[in-house]
Amino acid sequence: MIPDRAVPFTAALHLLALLISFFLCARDCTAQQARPTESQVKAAYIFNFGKFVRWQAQPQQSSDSFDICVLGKNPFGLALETTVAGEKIDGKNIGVKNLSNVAEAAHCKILFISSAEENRLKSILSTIKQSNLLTVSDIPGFAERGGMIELVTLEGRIRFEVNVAAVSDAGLTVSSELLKVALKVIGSKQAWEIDK
Amino acid sequence: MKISNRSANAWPARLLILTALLAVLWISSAPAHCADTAAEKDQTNSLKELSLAELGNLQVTTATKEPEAIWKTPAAIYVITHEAIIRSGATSIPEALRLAPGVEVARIDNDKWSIGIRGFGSRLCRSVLVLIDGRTVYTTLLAGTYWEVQDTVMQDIDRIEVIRGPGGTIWGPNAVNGVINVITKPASETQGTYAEVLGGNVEQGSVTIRQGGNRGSVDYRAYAKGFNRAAQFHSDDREFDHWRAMQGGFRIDWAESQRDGYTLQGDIYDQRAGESVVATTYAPPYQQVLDGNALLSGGNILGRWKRTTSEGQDIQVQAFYDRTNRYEPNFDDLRNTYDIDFLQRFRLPWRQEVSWGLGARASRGDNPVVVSGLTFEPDPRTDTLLSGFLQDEISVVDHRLSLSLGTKLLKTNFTDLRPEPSARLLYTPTDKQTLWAAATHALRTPSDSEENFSLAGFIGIAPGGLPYFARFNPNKNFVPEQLNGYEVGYRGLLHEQLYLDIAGFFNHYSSLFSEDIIGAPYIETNPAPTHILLPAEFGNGLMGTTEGGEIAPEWQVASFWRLRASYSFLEMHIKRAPGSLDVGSAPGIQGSSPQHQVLTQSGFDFPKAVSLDLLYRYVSALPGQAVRAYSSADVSLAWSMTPHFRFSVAGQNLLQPHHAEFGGDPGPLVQIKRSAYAELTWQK
Repeated sequence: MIPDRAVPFTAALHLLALLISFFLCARDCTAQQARPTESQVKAAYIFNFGKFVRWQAQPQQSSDSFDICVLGKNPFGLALETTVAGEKIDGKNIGVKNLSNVAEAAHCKILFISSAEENRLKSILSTIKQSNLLTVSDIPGFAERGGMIELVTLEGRIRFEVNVAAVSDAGLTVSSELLKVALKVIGSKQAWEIDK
Repeated sequence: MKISNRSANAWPARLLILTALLAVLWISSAPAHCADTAAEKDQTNSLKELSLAELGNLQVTTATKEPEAIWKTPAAIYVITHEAIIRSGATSIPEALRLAPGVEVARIDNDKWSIGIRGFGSRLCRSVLVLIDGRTVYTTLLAGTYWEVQDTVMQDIDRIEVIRGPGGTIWGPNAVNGVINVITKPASETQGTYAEVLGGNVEQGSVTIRQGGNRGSVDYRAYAKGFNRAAQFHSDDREFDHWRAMQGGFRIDWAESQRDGYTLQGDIYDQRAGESVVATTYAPPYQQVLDGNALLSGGNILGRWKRTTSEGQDIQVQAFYDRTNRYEPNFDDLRNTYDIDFLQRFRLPWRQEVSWGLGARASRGDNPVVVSGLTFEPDPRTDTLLSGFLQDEISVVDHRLSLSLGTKLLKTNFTDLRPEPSARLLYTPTDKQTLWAAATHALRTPSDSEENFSLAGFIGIAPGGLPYFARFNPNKNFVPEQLNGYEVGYRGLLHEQLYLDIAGFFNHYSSLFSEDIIGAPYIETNPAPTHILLPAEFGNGLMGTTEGGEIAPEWQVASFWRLRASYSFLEMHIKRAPGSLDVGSAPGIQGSSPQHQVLTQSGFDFPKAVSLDLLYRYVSALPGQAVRAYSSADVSLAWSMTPHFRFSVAGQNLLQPHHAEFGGDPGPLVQIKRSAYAELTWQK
């Protein structure tokens, strides 16, 4: 009867696939082989942005740590903390903070705006206008709407778009190394698209 | 043919338990070999060593996350993602629909499917609203959807949203049992060249090319595809369902400013779909089975303007034109459809979000007579439809409880103005859980096939030598079918890796489509030649209830293994309404929807960019179609050889050489063959 043969066959196929992955994983279960998650790659990007962006020198340092702040629901798990552990940017230790309110962002250098905040994006961006901080988000259309760096997922890969007008409005400069690799650069007087 | 349900019913449960056991076994052994947290840490650390360019080249796994778009929807909505479609190896939209719970997809033959949501599945798919990029694709001729001409580049589908139950803010006719919305990617996400070639035993040859480009704030793409599909299995060797098609299309998106966006898109197609039909004529030979090709062609063009004025406020205007040509062996339909729709959303005080819209459609059809037993009158005809909707979403407790009250309004040339009210409640106790409930009144509008259609069936030669026919005459008094639907549901991210979606429903139907004998047989001389006629018509003589539910977990078991499963349960009780003249069609309708459906999709990611997908499905018996319960398995193995080339091999319906899923063609049931294909794709 049809179901009699079907279940053992599919179960066997499942078992076979599991055994194969088990075997391959056991042999080569190092970080390089398995695919990284979105959160891990985005955390790595944010760390890199910290290295490729220059902030205005502030006469009064409000804190002597380089703060990366996440506004809203934190999608990274521990990936962001793990990435920045033991690293320094501009000679300062890096701190990761979770904010529930954009008013607390005063001392942040990089502000990652979670996609859960999409409905409040306009008011968030206007509150931190000219605040000398770098805004990053994966909200769709973030760069078009005045955000500085937008993380986009394309064909299973994470890329980013840069809004240079927003960046310079905030008094920051972005290294040309960063712009070269960007998927799209918008907001400059001669806006150009870079082929991926 | 005896259809045994009893032992078949045990298998879905057993399979789920077996898979769960395997998963538990795997998880419990994992720490010894793949210590996730330590490996994760290593991986995160190694990532920061990579250059920006290298980061951009990495393929990532998307962990289960709360699906933002559907989280706040008080309806049983399921999103078939792009990834799920590609990994399943589905080569057409109907096949991709199998991945959603509560949807019954049964393949009748090579180019016909019976599709329904929560019951009433049929070749015509009559009580489901189907949209492709906002364009309704149903035909007013039959109030249904011809699935064989709904096609696009599978790679460019962003997602298919399936709503089980009466649709919410999506308005339009026939959103009675569900809504299927196929959404393609915007042109900005389909840049560059994509080429795909595949070949196999049933999918004999298929080529797709798509080119996307961009100029400033304008993104565009154009595509062309063609396929050739061999016939399925026929026990009488009448291989009539050979299928060939060509299709092309384009899309242009212009983001004029931060506020305004414009889209123009269109498709054009030409097909030769083999089919077998019964042609009835009053003159001898009275009834013939014709095996021939349906010549199906047509095209559409759609324009849309969307303005986002500020947060939570937008306006959208959309217009489309659709041309359909159907030349079938027993009837022709040539149709022009014009449609314009307007939609606006804005905020009101006291935390209210209001959406409203208006739509108008005119469809002019010409059905020249091909066989005398199948006619439409008057001919040609224009069908018109006016629709509107209004919905107020009130945030009763901010971020916790919201109430949506709304109604659709529908007026067609067959009906007067009818409201379809609905009330929905959404409760979000925590950030990771949602509970919702809904009560809706919905209508399935009459169509030409009930009000303007004459369909004769040959019964036999009466003693005395005169031919004896039964004929369904036009019923100008056919009223809309009615539904009162009550639903509840729960969605929860139970664990970072486990997402669960449960829904239950109770639907009460009245004025359902019935086949009524309206008088005694008599001798009729017109149309000639003289014959005996049993008069019948399509009436509203059935009523009943359906109830059931779906449960669909999604589990990221390990970083390399994702499991999606669903179980759908449906019970139908359809019967004759008091005083109905129905001939006894209720058991057939009840028996054409499966009581149980199970689906599991298991995706493995191996090193070296290899992925494996195993799909198992079980559908319980359809006594109304003389179809036994069956299980089916598909396997898809893919290898991304380089970032540009992907090679895959897929096998479908592997568990039997062939099996039947649904009837509908004259003669023995056409059976769907075991098939396999190899595919090569190139992307730049």
